Amino acid sequence: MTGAPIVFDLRRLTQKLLDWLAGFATHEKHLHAAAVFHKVFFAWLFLHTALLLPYHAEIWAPEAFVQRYPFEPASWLEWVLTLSRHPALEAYYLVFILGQLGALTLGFFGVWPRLMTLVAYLLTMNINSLAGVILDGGNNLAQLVLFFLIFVNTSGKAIALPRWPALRGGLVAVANLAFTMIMVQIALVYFCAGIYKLNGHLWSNGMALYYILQADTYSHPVLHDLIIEWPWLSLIGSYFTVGFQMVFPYLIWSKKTRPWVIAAGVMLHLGISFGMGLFTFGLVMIAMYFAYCTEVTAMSLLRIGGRQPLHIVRYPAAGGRLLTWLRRLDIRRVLVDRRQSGEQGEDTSISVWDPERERSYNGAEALRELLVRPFLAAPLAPLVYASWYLGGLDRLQRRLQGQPQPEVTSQPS
Amino acid sequence: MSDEPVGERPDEDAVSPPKPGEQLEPKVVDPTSNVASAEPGDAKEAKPLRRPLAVVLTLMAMAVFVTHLGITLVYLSPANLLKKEGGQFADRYMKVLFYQNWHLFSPEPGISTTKFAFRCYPEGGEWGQWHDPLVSLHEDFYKHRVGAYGKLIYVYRDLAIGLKQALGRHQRTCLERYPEDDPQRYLECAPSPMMVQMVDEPSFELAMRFTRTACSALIDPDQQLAAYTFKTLEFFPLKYSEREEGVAAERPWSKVVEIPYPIFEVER
Repeated sequence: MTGAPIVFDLRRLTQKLLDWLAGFATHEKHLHAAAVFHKVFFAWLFLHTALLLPYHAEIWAPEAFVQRYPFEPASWLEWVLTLSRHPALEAYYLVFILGQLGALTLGFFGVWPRLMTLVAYLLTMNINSLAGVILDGGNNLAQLVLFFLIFVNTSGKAIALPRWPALRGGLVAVANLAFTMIMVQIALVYFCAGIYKLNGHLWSNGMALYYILQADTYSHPVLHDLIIEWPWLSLIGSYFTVGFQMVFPYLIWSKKTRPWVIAAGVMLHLGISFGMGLFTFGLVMIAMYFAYCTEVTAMSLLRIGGRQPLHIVRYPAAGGRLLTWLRRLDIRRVLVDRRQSGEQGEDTSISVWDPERERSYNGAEALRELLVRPFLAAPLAPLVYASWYLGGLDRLQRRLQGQPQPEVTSQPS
Repeated sequence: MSDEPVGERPDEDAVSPPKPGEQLEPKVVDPTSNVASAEPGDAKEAKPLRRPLAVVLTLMAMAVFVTHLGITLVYLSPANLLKKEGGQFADRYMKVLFYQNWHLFSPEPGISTTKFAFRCYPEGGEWGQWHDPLVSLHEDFYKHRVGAYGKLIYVYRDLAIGLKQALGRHQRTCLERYPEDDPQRYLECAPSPMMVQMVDEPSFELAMRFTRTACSALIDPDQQLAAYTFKTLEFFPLKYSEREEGVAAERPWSKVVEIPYPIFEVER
C-alpha cells in the first residue's frame, strides 16, 4: 500500500529535511572558506598590532595618557579577559602584545590553529582592555569574530576522528554554525548601521559627508576643500553609504549578487581607509568579505603561493632559449619536462598539462601558463596576462613554431 | 630530446598527461565532500555517524545558534515590546563577551572637532603660548594614510573629549535641579561653577597629569614649572548656508566654543 500522493510527498519532504539537518553534522560546509578567512583575518590582526607597536608606551603602558577602568578581582571574567589591567601585571603589557603577535603568526601558518585562535582571542581582549580609547567598530567586530572562530575548524583539513563519530559530528555541527554566525554577524553590522542612519537627519538629506569631512580626525585637507567646493559629492557619497548598508544584509547571500555587493563594499571601505583615515577599520571590513567565499574560490585562493606543477607535453625546438630562461627562473621546480620523442620538431605547437586541475593548455594559453608559473617570473604575471589577452602571445607562439606572421591587409576601398 | 624532469618531481605530480591535443574540462570539486572518511587511511576505521544522531547533534547546535541570534537581535533592536520584556536579560548576556555597538557615525555623525590646548608658566618667566598636542600628529596623519597616526590621535583627542563628557554630565545633573523656566539655572550650571565637581573626575586628573608632563618637557631645563592651565575648544563645521554666504573665505569654522579650566600652581 503506497498511500495518497500527499503522504508520499510529505514523507519525501521529511527525508529531505532530515538529510539537510544531518548534513550539518557530517559535512564541513565552509572548510576551505574558513581556512582562507582565518589567514586573512589573522593577517589583519597582526598588522593592527604591528602598526601600533612603535608607539606602545603612548598607548598601552601604565603611564600612558589613557583612561582605564580599575581591575575588578571579584569577577572571574576580569581574570581571563582583562588580566593585563591587574596592578601587578600592568608593567608587563609587552608580554601580552608579543604573545599575541606570536600566536597570530603560528595560527597564520597553520600551527595548532584552533589553540592559537583561542590564545589570540584571550590576548587580544587583554590588549584591547588596556586602551579602549583607540578601539573602533572594526575592533569590536574583530573581537566577536575571533570568539566565534574558536569553534571553527580553520585548518583547511576535515576533522578526522574516525573512532568518535558522535564527537566529530558535534564538532562539525558547531563549526558549521559558528562560521554561519560570523557571516550573520557581519551582515548585522551593516543592517544596524543602515537602520540607524535612516533615523539621522544628515544621512537622509545627504549632508552627512559634508560635515564629517570637515572634521580634522576623519578627513584630509584635499577632501575638506573638495567637499566645500562640491557639496554634491556629499549627497552621492551619503546616499551610496546608506543604500549599500541597507542592501548588503540581503544581497550578500545570493551568489549572483555577491560579487557586486562585495565590489561596492571594497570601494566604500577603501574610501573610509584612505579618505577618512580610518585605515584599519576599512581594511578589517574588507577582510570580513572573505567569509563569504565559495568553497571553489577558497580552494583557488589557498593554492596561491602553493607549488603548482606544470608538465610540458610538447614544445618547439626553436623556442629552446626561452625554455632555458624559464628553467632558470623556476627555482621551485614546477616545470616538469614530459615530452615524448618527435614532439620537439620545428613546427610543433606548445602543449602543457596541469596535473592538479587535470587540464591541458595549448598554443597561446600554454605559453601563458609557462610564463607565469616559474616563481621568479610571477611578478610579470599581469603583463603576461595582458599580452595574452591582446594577442601578443599568439604572435610569439607562432614565431617559436617558425610559422609566418599573418599579414595585415587593408580594407578594399 | 630530453626525457628528464626539469625539477624533482614529487609523487603527487604523477598524474598521466593527456594525449597531445586532448582538452579536458577543469576538475570540478564538490565542496560538500569534506568528510573525514574521505581522508586516506581513515576509510577502513571510520565509523559512520548514524543519521538520527547527526540530526540530534545539529538540532542541539542550532538551538544554541538561534538563542544567541535572538538575544543579539533583542539587544541591538531599538526600544520596542521585545526590548521592554527581555532587554535587561539581553544586556546582561551580551555585556562582556558579545558587547557590540554598530552606530558607526549614526544616527547623526559627530560633526564637531573637540581639541585640547594647554600653556605653561615657568618660575620667573611669563605665560607661554597655547599648545595643541595634536598639531604634529595631524600633519603626519595627513601625510601617511597607512599607519597608526589615526589611532594615536584618538589617545590625545580623548583628553578633550573626556573633559567635555564629564562636564556635560555634571551640567545635566545640575540643570535637573532647577525648574525649566528658572533663568538662574544657566548661571549656576555654567562651566565655571562646575569646576569644583570636575576636580574629582578621572578625565580631569588625566588632563592635569598630561599638562604637567608636557610643560615640564617644554620649558627650559634650567627653569622650573610654576603653574599651568588648559582649555577645551569645540569647533563646529561650516553650515551649508554659511558656505553660500561666503563665510568659508573668512574662517574655516562656523563657531568655536571655548571652556577654560583653572590655573594650577605647582606645589614644591
